[in-house]
Amino acid sequence: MEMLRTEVGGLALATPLLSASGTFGHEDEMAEWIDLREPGAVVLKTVTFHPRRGNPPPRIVEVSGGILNSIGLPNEGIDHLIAVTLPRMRGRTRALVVNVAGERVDEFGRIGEKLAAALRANPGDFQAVELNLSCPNVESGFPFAKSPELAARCVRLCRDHLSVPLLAKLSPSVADIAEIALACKEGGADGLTLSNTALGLALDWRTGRPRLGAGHGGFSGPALKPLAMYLVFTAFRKTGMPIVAAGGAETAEDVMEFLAAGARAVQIGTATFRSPRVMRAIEQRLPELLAQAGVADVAAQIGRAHPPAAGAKA
Amino acid sequence: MTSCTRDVLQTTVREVAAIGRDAWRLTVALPAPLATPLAGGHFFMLRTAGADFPFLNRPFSAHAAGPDGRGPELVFLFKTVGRGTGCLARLRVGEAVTAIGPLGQPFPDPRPGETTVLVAGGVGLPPLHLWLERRRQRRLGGAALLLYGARSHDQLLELASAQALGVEVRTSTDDGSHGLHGRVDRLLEGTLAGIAGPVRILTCGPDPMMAAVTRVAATRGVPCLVSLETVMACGFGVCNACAVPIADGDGRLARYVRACIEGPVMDGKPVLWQHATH
Repeated sequence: MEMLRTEVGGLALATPLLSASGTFGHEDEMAEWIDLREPGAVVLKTVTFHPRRGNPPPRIVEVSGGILNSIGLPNEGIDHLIAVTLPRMRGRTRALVVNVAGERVDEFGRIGEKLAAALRANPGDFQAVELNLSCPNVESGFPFAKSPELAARCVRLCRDHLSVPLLAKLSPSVADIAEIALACKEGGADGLTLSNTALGLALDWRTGRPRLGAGHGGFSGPALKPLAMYLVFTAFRKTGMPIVAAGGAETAEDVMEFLAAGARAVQIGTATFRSPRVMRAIEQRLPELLAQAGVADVAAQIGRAHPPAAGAKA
Repeated sequence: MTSCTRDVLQTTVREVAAIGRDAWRLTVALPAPLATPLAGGHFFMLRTAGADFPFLNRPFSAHAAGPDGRGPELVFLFKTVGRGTGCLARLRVGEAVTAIGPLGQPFPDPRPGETTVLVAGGVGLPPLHLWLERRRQRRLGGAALLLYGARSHDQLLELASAQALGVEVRTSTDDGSHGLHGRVDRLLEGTLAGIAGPVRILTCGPDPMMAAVTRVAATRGVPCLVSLETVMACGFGVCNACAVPIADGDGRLARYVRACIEGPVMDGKPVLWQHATH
Protein backbone atom coordinates (compact mmCIF):
# COMPACT_ATOMS: atom_id res chain seq x y z
CA MET A 1 0.00 0.00 0.00
CA GLU A 2 1.55 3.25 -1.21
CA MET A 3 0.60 5.29 1.86
CA LEU A 4 2.64 2.99 4.14
CA ARG A 5 5.94 3.40 2.30
CA THR A 6 8.86 4.88 4.15
CA GLU A 7 12.62 5.00 4.05
CA VAL A 8 15.29 5.13 6.71
CA GLY A 9 18.94 5.93 6.01
CA GLY A 10 18.67 4.59 2.46
CA LEU A 11 16.69 1.47 3.41
CA ALA A 12 13.42 1.52 1.43
CA LEU A 13 10.50 -0.02 3.31
CA ALA A 14 7.07 -1.01 2.03
CA THR A 15 5.64 -0.58 5.52
CA PRO A 16 7.05 1.18 8.61
CA LEU A 17 6.94 -2.07 10.63
CA LEU A 18 10.09 -4.07 11.34
CA SER A 19 10.65 -6.99 13.63
CA ALA A 20 12.94 -6.18 16.54
CA SER A 21 16.11 -8.21 16.70
CA GLY A 22 15.88 -11.11 19.12
CA THR A 23 12.10 -11.38 18.99
CA PHE A 24 11.68 -12.91 15.55
CA GLY A 25 14.01 -15.90 15.64
CA HIS A 26 17.41 -16.72 14.22
CA GLU A 27 16.07 -17.31 10.72
CA ASP A 28 12.64 -18.37 9.44
CA GLU A 29 10.99 -19.61 12.67
CA MET A 30 8.16 -17.09 12.23
CA ALA A 31 7.23 -18.33 8.75
CA GLU A 32 4.74 -20.68 10.40
CA TRP A 33 2.85 -17.70 11.83
CA ILE A 34 3.08 -14.93 9.28
CA ASP A 35 4.23 -14.45 5.72
CA LEU A 36 7.80 -13.21 6.12
CA ARG A 37 6.97 -10.66 3.40
CA GLU A 38 4.46 -8.89 5.66
CA PRO A 39 6.93 -6.81 7.72
CA GLY A 40 8.60 -3.87 6.00
CA ALA A 41 11.80 -5.62 7.00
CA VAL A 42 12.74 -8.67 9.02
CA VAL A 43 15.56 -7.95 11.47
CA LEU A 44 17.38 -11.13 12.44
CA LYS A 45 18.64 -12.02 15.91
CA THR A 46 22.07 -10.69 16.80
CA VAL A 47 24.98 -12.61 15.33
CA THR A 48 28.45 -12.36 16.87
CA PHE A 49 31.81 -13.19 15.34
CA HIS A 50 32.12 -16.41 17.33
CA PRO A 51 29.17 -18.68 18.27
CA ARG A 52 27.68 -18.07 21.72
CA ARG A 53 25.72 -20.50 23.91
CA GLY A 54 23.79 -17.81 25.71
CA ASN A 55 23.15 -17.33 29.42
CA PRO A 56 22.06 -19.84 32.08
CA PRO A 57 18.32 -20.08 32.79
CA PRO A 58 16.09 -18.56 33.96
CA ARG A 59 16.46 -16.16 31.05
CA ILE A 60 13.17 -14.28 31.31
CA VAL A 61 11.05 -13.07 34.20
CA GLU A 62 7.81 -11.19 34.01
CA VAL A 63 7.78 -7.82 35.79
CA SER A 64 5.28 -4.96 35.93
CA GLY A 65 4.63 -3.65 32.42
CA GLY A 66 6.84 -6.11 30.60
CA ILE A 67 9.66 -8.58 30.93
CA LEU A 68 13.28 -8.69 31.98
CA ASN A 69 15.57 -10.89 29.89
CA SER A 70 19.13 -12.12 29.98
CA ILE A 71 19.08 -14.38 26.93
CA GLY A 72 22.78 -13.74 26.34
CA LEU A 73 22.84 -13.54 22.52
CA PRO A 74 22.93 -17.28 21.75
CA ASN A 75 23.84 -17.63 18.08
CA GLU A 76 25.86 -19.75 15.68
CA GLY A 77 28.31 -17.02 14.66
CA ILE A 78 28.84 -14.95 11.52
CA ASP A 79 30.09 -17.83 9.36
CA HIS A 80 26.88 -19.79 10.01
CA LEU A 81 24.79 -16.73 9.17
CA ILE A 82 26.51 -16.41 5.81
CA ALA A 83 26.65 -20.12 4.98
CA VAL A 84 23.22 -21.21 6.22
CA THR A 85 20.90 -18.40 7.30
CA LEU A 86 21.24 -15.99 4.38
CA PRO A 87 20.69 -18.69 1.71
CA ARG A 88 17.66 -19.92 3.67
CA MET A 89 16.16 -16.43 3.85
CA ARG A 90 16.93 -15.54 0.23
CA GLY A 91 13.93 -14.03 -1.54
CA ARG A 92 11.56 -14.61 1.39
CA THR A 93 11.40 -11.11 2.88
CA ARG A 94 10.70 -7.67 1.45
CA ALA A 95 13.89 -6.50 3.13
CA LEU A 96 16.29 -8.35 5.39
CA VAL A 97 18.32 -6.58 8.05
CA VAL A 98 21.24 -8.44 9.56
CA ASN A 99 21.94 -7.55 13.20
CA VAL A 100 25.52 -8.02 14.36
CA ALA A 101 27.60 -7.39 17.46
CA GLY A 102 31.27 -7.67 18.27
CA GLU A 103 32.48 -8.79 21.65
CA ARG A 104 35.68 -6.80 20.95
CA VAL A 105 36.01 -3.61 18.96
CA ASP A 106 38.02 -5.23 16.15
CA GLU A 107 35.33 -7.85 15.62
CA PHE A 108 33.02 -5.20 14.15
CA GLY A 109 35.57 -4.79 11.36
CA ARG A 110 36.01 -8.53 10.86
CA ILE A 111 32.23 -9.00 10.75
CA GLY A 112 31.88 -6.12 8.28
CA GLU A 113 34.52 -7.69 6.06
CA LYS A 114 32.74 -11.05 6.02
CA LEU A 115 29.35 -9.43 5.34
CA ALA A 116 30.82 -7.41 2.46
CA ALA A 117 32.24 -10.59 0.93
CA ALA A 118 28.87 -12.30 1.34
CA LEU A 119 27.14 -9.44 -0.47
CA ARG A 120 29.67 -9.53 -3.31
CA ALA A 121 28.97 -13.25 -3.72
CA ASN A 122 25.20 -12.87 -3.44
CA PRO A 123 24.10 -9.28 -4.02
CA GLY A 124 20.74 -8.50 -2.46
CA ASP A 125 20.94 -11.13 0.28
CA PHE A 126 20.38 -8.39 2.85
CA GLN A 127 19.44 -4.75 2.54
CA ALA A 128 20.89 -3.23 5.71
CA VAL A 129 22.99 -3.96 8.76
CA GLU A 130 21.99 -3.07 12.30
CA LEU A 131 24.86 -2.84 14.79
CA ASN A 132 23.92 -4.00 18.28
CA LEU A 133 26.13 -1.69 20.30
CA SER A 134 24.50 -2.67 23.60
CA CYS A 135 26.44 -5.92 23.69
CA PRO A 136 29.00 -5.86 26.52
CA ASN A 137 32.57 -5.41 25.37
CA VAL A 138 34.47 -8.39 26.80
CA GLU A 139 37.65 -6.30 26.82
CA SER A 140 36.22 -3.76 29.27
CA GLY A 141 32.93 -5.29 30.43
CA PHE A 142 31.41 -2.01 29.28
CA PRO A 143 28.78 -1.81 26.51
CA PHE A 144 30.06 -0.02 23.40
CA ALA A 145 26.89 2.05 23.33
CA LYS A 146 27.85 3.83 26.56
CA SER A 147 30.94 5.45 25.11
CA PRO A 148 30.81 7.86 22.13
CA GLU A 149 34.39 6.96 21.19
CA LEU A 150 33.87 3.19 21.31
CA ALA A 151 30.55 3.38 19.50
CA ALA A 152 32.05 5.52 16.74
CA ARG A 153 34.99 3.12 16.31
CA CYS A 154 32.68 0.08 16.04
CA VAL A 155 30.55 1.82 13.40
CA ARG A 156 33.62 3.03 11.48
CA LEU A 157 35.23 -0.43 11.38
CA CYS A 158 32.07 -1.88 9.87
CA ARG A 159 31.42 1.12 7.58
CA ASP A 160 34.87 0.73 6.03
CA HIS A 161 33.72 -2.53 4.46
CA LEU A 162 30.01 -2.02 3.85
CA SER A 163 28.07 0.28 1.59
CA VAL A 164 24.56 -0.93 2.54
CA PRO A 165 22.60 1.21 5.04
CA LEU A 166 24.04 0.94 8.54
CA LEU A 167 21.85 1.43 11.59
CA ALA A 168 23.41 1.91 15.02
CA LYS A 169 21.21 0.33 17.69
CA LEU A 170 21.86 2.23 20.90
CA SER A 171 21.22 1.56 24.56
CA PRO A 172 18.64 3.64 26.45
CA SER A 173 20.76 3.34 29.59
CA VAL A 174 22.99 6.34 28.79
CA ALA A 175 23.17 9.93 30.02
CA ASP A 176 23.08 11.71 26.64
CA ILE A 177 21.66 9.83 23.67
CA ALA A 178 22.41 12.67 21.23
CA GLU A 179 26.13 12.60 22.04
CA ILE A 180 26.34 8.86 21.28
CA ALA A 181 24.13 9.25 18.20
CA LEU A 182 26.31 12.00 16.74
CA ALA A 183 29.42 9.91 17.40
CA CYS A 184 27.82 7.07 15.44
CA LYS A 185 27.02 9.51 12.63
CA GLU A 186 30.69 10.55 12.61
CA GLY A 187 31.58 6.87 12.42
CA GLY A 188 29.44 6.55 9.32
CA ALA A 189 26.05 5.35 10.57
CA ASP A 190 23.15 6.09 8.21
CA GLY A 191 20.57 5.92 10.96
CA LEU A 192 19.74 4.92 14.51
CA THR A 193 17.63 2.27 16.16
CA LEU A 194 16.31 3.76 19.40
CA SER A 195 16.63 1.86 21.36
CA ASN A 196 17.35 -1.45 23.06
CA THR A 197 16.19 -3.00 26.34
CA ALA A 198 16.91 -0.91 29.45
CA LEU A 199 19.14 -2.34 32.15
CA GLY A 200 17.06 -3.80 34.95
CA LEU A 201 17.11 -6.13 37.92
CA ALA A 202 14.56 -8.37 39.58
CA LEU A 203 15.24 -10.00 42.94
CA ASP A 204 13.65 -12.81 44.88
CA TRP A 205 12.91 -11.10 48.20
CA ARG A 206 13.00 -14.41 50.05
CA THR A 207 16.57 -15.25 49.11
CA GLY A 208 17.85 -11.84 48.03
CA ARG A 209 19.10 -13.47 44.83
CA PRO A 210 18.46 -12.30 41.24
CA ARG A 211 15.51 -13.91 39.48
CA LEU A 212 17.52 -14.16 36.25
CA GLY A 213 20.25 -16.75 35.86
CA ALA A 214 22.75 -14.15 34.69
CA GLY A 215 21.89 -11.57 37.39
CA HIS A 216 20.64 -8.38 35.78
CA GLY A 217 18.94 -8.14 32.41
CA GLY A 218 17.24 -5.94 29.85
CA PHE A 219 13.72 -4.61 30.36
CA SER A 220 11.25 -4.57 27.46
CA GLY A 221 7.52 -4.29 27.01
CA PRO A 222 4.89 -1.54 27.04
CA ALA A 223 6.32 0.24 30.08
CA LEU A 224 9.46 0.98 28.03
CA LYS A 225 7.49 3.01 25.48
CA PRO A 226 7.59 6.49 27.10
CA LEU A 227 11.34 6.11 27.60
CA ALA A 228 11.88 5.15 23.96
CA MET A 229 9.53 7.93 22.83
CA TYR A 230 11.66 10.48 24.66
CA LEU A 231 14.87 9.11 23.10
CA VAL A 232 13.37 9.22 19.59
CA PHE A 233 12.00 12.72 20.13
CA THR A 234 15.28 14.02 21.58
CA ALA A 235 17.56 12.36 19.03
CA PHE A 236 15.38 13.63 16.16
CA ARG A 237 15.52 17.18 17.47
CA LYS A 238 19.21 17.21 18.32
CA THR A 239 20.70 15.13 15.49
CA GLY A 240 18.19 15.06 12.63
CA MET A 241 19.31 11.47 11.94
CA PRO A 242 16.93 8.91 10.44
CA ILE A 243 15.49 6.84 13.30
CA VAL A 244 13.89 3.43 13.70
CA ALA A 245 11.98 3.34 16.98
CA ALA A 246 12.07 0.28 19.24
CA GLY A 247 10.56 0.06 22.70
CA GLY A 248 7.22 -1.28 23.83
CA ALA A 249 5.17 -0.71 20.67
CA GLU A 250 2.20 -3.09 20.62
CA THR A 251 -0.53 -1.29 18.70
CA ALA A 252 -1.04 0.84 15.60
CA GLU A 253 -1.58 3.80 17.93
CA ASP A 254 1.87 3.22 19.43
CA VAL A 255 3.37 3.19 15.93
CA MET A 256 1.62 6.47 15.06
CA GLU A 257 3.07 8.04 18.23
CA PHE A 258 6.61 6.94 17.41
CA LEU A 259 6.25 8.28 13.87
CA ALA A 260 5.05 11.62 15.25
CA ALA A 261 8.05 11.73 17.58
CA GLY A 262 10.32 11.48 14.56
CA ALA A 263 10.80 7.78 13.83
CA ARG A 264 10.72 6.80 10.15
CA ALA A 265 9.90 3.18 11.03
CA VAL A 266 9.02 1.21 14.16
CA GLN A 267 10.19 -2.17 15.40
CA ILE A 268 7.77 -4.58 17.04
CA GLY A 269 9.51 -6.78 19.57
CA THR A 270 8.20 -8.17 22.83
CA ALA A 271 4.62 -7.86 21.56
CA THR A 272 5.35 -10.71 19.13
CA PHE A 273 5.92 -13.05 22.08
CA ARG A 274 2.36 -12.38 23.21
CA SER A 275 0.85 -12.58 19.77
CA PRO A 276 2.83 -13.89 16.78
CA ARG A 277 0.62 -12.04 14.28
CA VAL A 278 0.59 -8.68 16.02
CA MET A 279 2.43 -6.99 13.13
CA ARG A 280 -0.30 -7.99 10.71
CA ALA A 281 -2.96 -6.51 12.97
CA ILE A 282 -1.02 -3.25 13.30
CA GLU A 283 -0.46 -2.94 9.55
CA GLN A 284 -4.15 -3.49 8.82
CA ARG A 285 -5.14 -0.70 11.19
CA LEU A 286 -2.58 1.92 10.14
CA PRO A 287 -4.48 3.33 7.11
CA GLU A 288 -7.52 4.03 9.29
CA LEU A 289 -5.39 5.80 11.90
CA LEU A 290 -3.61 7.87 9.24
CA ALA A 291 -7.02 8.97 8.02
CA GLN A 292 -8.15 9.80 11.56
CA ALA A 293 -4.97 11.84 12.08
CA GLY A 294 -5.72 13.70 8.87
CA VAL A 295 -2.47 12.81 7.16
CA ALA A 296 -2.15 11.31 3.70
CA ASP A 297 0.56 8.80 4.43
CA VAL A 298 3.25 7.58 6.81
CA ALA A 299 5.74 10.12 5.46
CA ALA A 300 3.40 12.94 6.52
CA GLN A 301 3.11 11.55 10.06
CA ILE A 302 6.88 11.42 10.62
CA GLY A 303 8.07 14.14 12.98
CA ARG A 304 4.67 15.82 13.41
CA ALA A 305 5.49 16.46 17.07
CA HIS A 306 8.25 18.86 16.03
CA PRO A 307 8.15 22.35 14.53
CA PRO A 308 8.55 22.30 10.72
CA ALA A 309 12.29 23.12 10.76
CA ALA A 310 13.28 20.42 13.23
CA GLY A 311 14.97 17.32 11.89
CA ALA A 312 15.49 19.07 8.57
CA LYS A 313 19.17 18.20 8.71
CA ALA A 314 18.17 14.61 7.89
CA MET B 1 -14.27 -22.80 10.30
CA THR B 2 -14.50 -26.58 10.07
CA SER B 3 -11.31 -27.39 11.94
CA CYS B 4 -8.40 -25.71 13.75
CA THR B 5 -4.72 -26.09 13.06
CA ARG B 6 -1.76 -24.56 14.96
CA ASP B 7 -2.95 -21.02 15.43
CA VAL B 8 -3.83 -18.20 17.79
CA LEU B 9 -7.14 -19.70 18.91
CA GLN B 10 -9.92 -17.91 20.75
CA THR B 11 -11.41 -20.35 23.25
CA THR B 12 -14.27 -20.07 25.71
CA VAL B 13 -14.14 -21.18 29.33
CA ARG B 14 -16.49 -24.08 30.03
CA GLU B 15 -15.44 -24.85 33.61
CA VAL B 16 -12.90 -23.97 36.29
CA ALA B 17 -13.00 -26.61 39.03
CA ALA B 18 -11.02 -26.88 42.25
CA ILE B 19 -9.48 -30.38 42.32
CA GLY B 20 -7.05 -30.28 45.25
CA ARG B 21 -4.88 -28.03 47.36
CA ASP B 22 -4.32 -24.90 45.20
CA ALA B 23 -5.02 -27.07 42.15
CA TRP B 24 -7.51 -26.45 39.36
CA ARG B 25 -8.95 -28.03 36.26
CA LEU B 26 -9.64 -25.62 33.41
CA THR B 27 -11.87 -26.71 30.54
CA VAL B 28 -12.06 -24.53 27.44
CA ALA B 29 -13.88 -24.98 24.15
CA LEU B 30 -12.10 -24.44 20.83
CA PRO B 31 -14.00 -22.69 18.02
CA ALA B 32 -13.87 -25.99 16.08
CA PRO B 33 -12.26 -29.42 16.46
CA LEU B 34 -8.53 -29.69 15.79
CA ALA B 35 -7.57 -31.02 12.35
CA THR B 36 -4.92 -33.30 13.90
CA PRO B 37 -5.45 -35.17 17.17
CA LEU B 38 -3.31 -34.09 20.12
CA ALA B 39 -0.72 -36.34 21.73
CA GLY B 40 0.57 -36.22 25.30
CA GLY B 41 3.08 -33.39 25.63
CA HIS B 42 1.43 -31.00 23.20
CA PHE B 43 1.00 -27.66 24.93
CA PHE B 44 -0.75 -24.33 24.49
CA MET B 45 0.24 -20.83 25.55
CA LEU B 46 -2.79 -19.52 27.48
CA ARG B 47 -3.82 -16.03 28.54
CA THR B 48 -7.07 -14.32 29.45
CA ALA B 49 -8.07 -12.65 26.17
CA GLY B 50 -7.47 -8.92 26.14
CA ALA B 51 -6.06 -8.75 29.67
CA ASP B 52 -3.00 -6.61 30.39
CA PHE B 53 -1.98 -8.99 33.17
CA PRO B 54 -0.37 -11.45 33.14
CA PHE B 55 1.80 -9.92 30.43
CA LEU B 56 3.02 -13.18 28.93
CA ASN B 57 1.08 -16.23 27.90
CA ARG B 58 1.77 -19.28 30.07
CA PRO B 59 2.50 -22.78 28.76
CA PHE B 60 0.16 -25.61 29.78
CA SER B 61 0.21 -29.20 28.54
CA ALA B 62 -3.13 -30.59 27.48
CA HIS B 63 -4.57 -33.07 30.00
CA ALA B 64 -7.55 -34.29 27.99
CA ALA B 65 -8.69 -33.51 24.48
CA GLY B 66 -12.12 -35.01 23.83
CA PRO B 67 -13.26 -38.37 22.49
CA ASP B 68 -10.84 -38.43 19.54
CA GLY B 69 -8.08 -36.08 20.71
CA ARG B 70 -9.36 -33.22 18.56
CA GLY B 71 -11.37 -31.39 21.20
CA PRO B 72 -13.36 -29.27 20.79
CA GLU B 73 -13.09 -29.20 24.59
CA LEU B 74 -9.56 -29.15 26.01
CA VAL B 75 -8.70 -29.75 29.66
CA PHE B 76 -5.69 -28.29 31.49
CA LEU B 77 -4.56 -28.74 35.11
CA PHE B 78 -2.67 -26.10 37.00
CA LYS B 79 -1.61 -25.04 40.48
CA THR B 80 -1.92 -21.49 41.68
CA VAL B 81 1.65 -20.45 42.36
CA GLY B 82 1.50 -16.71 41.65
CA ARG B 83 -0.66 -13.87 40.43
CA GLY B 84 -0.75 -15.21 36.86
CA THR B 85 -2.15 -18.61 37.70
CA GLY B 86 -4.39 -16.86 40.25
CA CYS B 87 -6.02 -15.01 37.34
CA LEU B 88 -6.68 -18.32 35.58
CA ALA B 89 -8.29 -19.74 38.72
CA ARG B 90 -10.70 -16.78 38.80
CA LEU B 91 -11.84 -17.22 35.19
CA ARG B 92 -15.59 -17.54 34.83
CA VAL B 93 -17.64 -19.70 32.49
CA GLY B 94 -18.02 -17.98 29.14
CA GLU B 95 -14.89 -15.83 29.42
CA ALA B 96 -12.49 -15.82 26.47
CA VAL B 97 -9.03 -17.36 26.73
CA THR B 98 -6.44 -17.01 23.98
CA ALA B 99 -4.68 -20.30 23.30
CA ILE B 100 -1.68 -20.38 20.99
CA GLY B 101 -1.06 -23.93 19.85
CA PRO B 102 -0.88 -26.84 19.72
CA LEU B 103 2.88 -26.48 20.25
CA GLY B 104 5.89 -28.69 20.91
CA GLN B 105 7.09 -32.23 20.34
CA PRO B 106 4.84 -34.73 22.14
CA PHE B 107 5.59 -38.14 23.63
CA PRO B 108 5.72 -40.94 21.04
CA ASP B 109 2.97 -43.55 20.92
CA PRO B 110 3.57 -46.92 22.60
CA ARG B 111 5.57 -49.53 20.73
CA PRO B 112 4.31 -53.10 20.44
CA GLY B 113 6.21 -55.53 22.66
CA GLU B 114 7.43 -52.76 24.95
CA THR B 115 6.19 -51.83 28.40
CA THR B 116 5.77 -48.09 28.91
CA VAL B 117 6.17 -46.93 32.50
CA LEU B 118 4.66 -43.47 32.96
CA VAL B 119 5.98 -41.55 35.97
CA ALA B 120 4.00 -38.48 36.98
CA GLY B 121 4.75 -36.03 39.78
CA GLY B 122 1.95 -33.82 41.14
CA VAL B 123 0.71 -31.35 38.56
CA GLY B 124 2.95 -33.05 35.96
CA LEU B 125 0.19 -35.56 35.23
CA PRO B 126 -1.40 -33.93 32.12
CA PRO B 127 0.92 -35.06 29.29
CA LEU B 128 0.89 -38.62 30.63
CA HIS B 129 -2.87 -38.57 31.16
CA LEU B 130 -3.37 -37.46 27.57
CA TRP B 131 -0.91 -40.13 26.40
CA LEU B 132 -3.02 -42.78 28.14
CA GLU B 133 -6.24 -41.29 26.80
CA ARG B 134 -4.86 -41.41 23.25
CA ARG B 135 -3.61 -44.98 23.77
CA ARG B 136 -7.07 -46.09 24.84
CA GLN B 137 -8.98 -44.17 22.17
CA ARG B 138 -6.78 -45.47 19.36
CA ARG B 139 -6.42 -48.96 20.86
CA LEU B 140 -2.64 -48.73 20.61
CA GLY B 141 -0.74 -51.83 21.69
CA GLY B 142 1.92 -52.36 24.31
CA ALA B 143 1.62 -52.70 28.06
CA ALA B 144 1.60 -49.56 30.19
CA LEU B 145 1.32 -48.58 33.81
CA LEU B 146 1.24 -45.26 35.63
CA LEU B 147 3.28 -44.40 38.70
CA TYR B 148 1.93 -41.26 40.30
CA GLY B 149 3.72 -39.50 43.14
CA ALA B 150 3.01 -36.36 45.15
CA ARG B 151 3.80 -34.81 48.51
CA SER B 152 0.46 -35.83 49.93
CA HIS B 153 -2.79 -37.54 48.91
CA ASP B 154 -4.55 -34.24 48.13
CA GLN B 155 -1.90 -33.46 45.52
CA LEU B 156 -2.58 -36.67 43.58
CA LEU B 157 -4.75 -34.75 41.12
CA GLU B 158 -7.48 -36.36 39.02
CA LEU B 159 -6.52 -39.79 40.34
CA ALA B 160 -9.94 -41.29 39.52
CA SER B 161 -9.68 -39.98 35.96
CA ALA B 162 -6.24 -41.56 35.59
CA GLN B 163 -7.48 -44.83 37.04
CA ALA B 164 -10.23 -44.94 34.43
CA LEU B 165 -7.78 -45.03 31.52
CA GLY B 166 -7.33 -48.79 31.48
CA VAL B 167 -3.92 -49.21 33.11
CA GLU B 168 -2.71 -50.07 36.58
CA VAL B 169 -1.99 -46.97 38.67
CA ARG B 170 0.49 -47.15 41.57
CA THR B 171 0.88 -44.17 43.86
CA SER B 172 3.44 -42.83 46.28
CA THR B 173 3.33 -39.89 48.67
CA ASP B 174 6.11 -38.24 50.63
CA ASP B 175 3.96 -38.30 53.79
CA GLY B 176 2.63 -41.81 53.30
CA SER B 177 -0.99 -40.66 53.06
CA HIS B 178 -1.57 -42.63 49.82
CA GLY B 179 0.29 -45.57 48.29
CA LEU B 180 3.98 -46.10 48.91
CA HIS B 181 5.45 -43.92 51.67
CA GLY B 182 8.33 -42.29 49.81
CA ARG B 183 9.29 -40.71 46.55
CA VAL B 184 8.10 -41.87 43.17
CA ASP B 185 11.61 -42.79 42.01
CA ARG B 186 11.65 -45.48 44.72
CA LEU B 187 8.34 -46.74 43.41
CA LEU B 188 9.92 -46.79 39.95
CA GLU B 189 12.90 -48.84 41.14
CA GLY B 190 10.62 -51.48 42.61
CA THR B 191 8.41 -51.49 39.53
CA LEU B 192 11.25 -51.88 37.03
CA ALA B 193 12.59 -54.84 39.01
CA GLY B 194 9.33 -56.65 38.33
CA ILE B 195 9.10 -56.08 34.56
CA ALA B 196 10.60 -58.49 32.06
CA GLY B 197 11.39 -57.37 28.49
CA PRO B 198 11.95 -53.97 26.93
CA VAL B 199 10.78 -50.92 28.90
CA ARG B 200 10.54 -47.22 28.14
CA ILE B 201 9.93 -44.54 30.74
CA LEU B 202 7.95 -41.36 30.07
CA THR B 203 7.95 -38.80 32.86
CA CYS B 204 6.69 -35.36 33.77
CA GLY B 205 6.92 -33.54 37.09
CA PRO B 206 9.15 -31.17 39.03
CA ASP B 207 12.79 -31.04 37.84
CA PRO B 208 14.26 -32.79 40.93
CA MET B 209 11.79 -35.64 40.50
CA MET B 210 12.54 -36.01 36.78
CA ALA B 211 16.26 -35.88 37.57
CA ALA B 212 15.80 -38.75 40.02
CA VAL B 213 13.70 -40.73 37.54
CA THR B 214 16.31 -40.18 34.84
CA ARG B 215 19.03 -41.46 37.21
CA VAL B 216 17.05 -44.61 37.97
CA ALA B 217 16.50 -45.15 34.24
CA ALA B 218 20.18 -44.65 33.46
CA THR B 219 21.22 -47.10 36.19
CA ARG B 220 18.98 -49.73 34.64
CA GLY B 221 19.86 -48.84 31.05
CA VAL B 222 16.22 -47.97 30.30
CA PRO B 223 15.39 -45.17 27.83
CA CYS B 224 13.64 -42.25 29.50
CA LEU B 225 11.83 -39.36 27.86
CA VAL B 226 10.99 -36.31 29.95
CA SER B 227 8.48 -33.51 29.36
CA LEU B 228 10.12 -30.32 30.58
CA GLU B 229 8.40 -27.36 32.11
CA THR B 230 10.38 -24.14 31.70
CA VAL B 231 9.80 -20.43 31.72
CA MET B 232 8.68 -19.43 28.24
CA ALA B 233 7.92 -16.06 26.74
CA CYS B 234 6.68 -17.11 23.30
CA GLY B 235 6.33 -20.90 23.04
CA PHE B 236 7.12 -20.97 19.33
CA GLY B 237 10.90 -20.74 19.13
CA VAL B 238 11.78 -17.07 18.84
CA CYS B 239 12.49 -15.77 22.35
CA ASN B 240 15.14 -18.32 23.40
CA ALA B 241 14.03 -18.08 27.04
CA CYS B 242 13.24 -21.78 27.54
CA ALA B 243 16.85 -22.90 27.42
CA VAL B 244 17.48 -26.47 28.54
CA PRO B 245 21.13 -27.23 29.38
CA ILE B 246 22.45 -30.28 27.55
CA ALA B 247 25.64 -32.11 28.57
CA ASP B 248 28.44 -33.38 26.38
CA GLY B 249 29.81 -36.91 26.82
CA ASP B 250 31.79 -35.81 29.89
CA GLY B 251 28.81 -34.34 31.69
CA ARG B 252 29.79 -30.73 31.00
CA LEU B 253 27.50 -28.08 29.56
CA ALA B 254 27.64 -28.43 25.77
CA ARG B 255 24.72 -26.33 24.58
CA TYR B 256 21.21 -25.17 25.28
CA VAL B 257 18.16 -26.35 23.39
CA ARG B 258 14.73 -24.71 23.30
CA ALA B 259 12.12 -26.59 25.33
CA CYS B 260 9.34 -25.13 23.17
CA ILE B 261 10.33 -26.48 19.77
CA GLU B 262 13.04 -29.07 20.41
CA GLY B 263 10.87 -30.24 23.35
CA PRO B 264 9.09 -30.15 25.70
CA VAL B 265 9.53 -33.92 25.32
CA MET B 266 13.14 -34.98 24.95
CA ASP B 267 15.64 -37.62 26.03
CA GLY B 268 16.24 -37.07 29.74
CA LYS B 269 19.73 -38.54 29.81
CA PRO B 270 21.80 -35.56 28.56
CA VAL B 271 19.77 -32.92 30.45
CA LEU B 272 21.99 -31.16 33.01
CA TRP B 273 19.43 -30.99 35.79
CA GLN B 274 21.63 -29.05 38.22
CA HIS B 275 21.80 -26.18 35.68
CA ALA B 276 18.09 -26.28 34.84
CA THR B 277 16.90 -23.91 37.54
CA HIS B 278 13.34 -23.52 36.40
